[in-house]
Amino acid sequence: MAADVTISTGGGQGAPLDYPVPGAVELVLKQLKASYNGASAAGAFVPTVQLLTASGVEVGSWTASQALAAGASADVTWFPGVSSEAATSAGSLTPFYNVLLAASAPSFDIVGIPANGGSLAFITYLRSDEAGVINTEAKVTVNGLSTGSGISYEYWDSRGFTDQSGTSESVFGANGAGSDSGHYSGSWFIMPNYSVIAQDHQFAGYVAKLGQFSDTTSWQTYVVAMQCCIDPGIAVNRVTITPTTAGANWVAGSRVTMYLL
Amino acid sequence: MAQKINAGMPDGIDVDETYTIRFAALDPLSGAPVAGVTISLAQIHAASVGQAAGTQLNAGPFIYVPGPND
Repeated sequence: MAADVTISTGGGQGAPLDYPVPGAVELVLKQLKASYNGASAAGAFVPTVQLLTASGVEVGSWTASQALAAGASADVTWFPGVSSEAATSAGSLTPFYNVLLAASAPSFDIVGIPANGGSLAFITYLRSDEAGVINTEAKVTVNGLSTGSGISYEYWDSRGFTDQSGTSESVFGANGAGSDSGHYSGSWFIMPNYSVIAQDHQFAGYVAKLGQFSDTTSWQTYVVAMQCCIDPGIAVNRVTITPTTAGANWVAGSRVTMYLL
Repeated sequence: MAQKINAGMPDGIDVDETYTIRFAALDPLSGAPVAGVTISLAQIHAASVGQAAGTQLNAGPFIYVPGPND
């Protein structure tokens, strides 16, 4: 039977404060708490808990509902069932994954998706370091699988473009380095029935894209559809979002949020 | 007196020795770490599903807090 434990620090230490989970330890988190003192803060800040892999890749991030001004202090408690949005925001949800890049990274890799939900809802805000303005697109890989490994990808958009040859899928837009400074592309997409893959070629994911791009002539918005055909018995447990070009990176300020619905 | 903030996190997050739990102070616009913020009384409350217990849970500045049955 699992035993409840509490692990704690004492007096103040500079942020960030790390707990590297020791060897042979496995924890199921129930509640996190910390007192933040911003008396000497260099600027406004958001209390945040991050979950990092051994290689330092952020795989989870949970932020407080509000930023604190320099000089302010707060006792922050994180626990399930509480929205990270404002308390008065009825209907708000707690994200399963919510990562805002502080530095360039090659992907958003959402792992450990539990098989207990009906749909995955993604909201993205992306800019890559690729040279293009509007030609760059985010690629999604499901479960790390390529075509022929239990999954195939098909893609359409309103421009009539069809792609069935990839080992991942273009699902929404992302601004490139050629777009106006500071411009990111906002998109959303939903994967329904992600944990109920019961028959061959069941429609496992689709995308509605509201990608808005800034090129040299106009702003554009268009809609795409993505279909993932997944063999029986394979549920979606991992979604990886990368730029189109191999070796490219998402730049700082890019963000992906995912909800279990 | 410090204000009280409740924040959300997913239920049932399972972490093992390959992970680090980080309490951070991030810039609300860029996501970059903000210097000069201090953190005290950081606390992790969890169910230990591995074999480790007691001081085996100590790491970094974190120490195990014995309960009434220890």
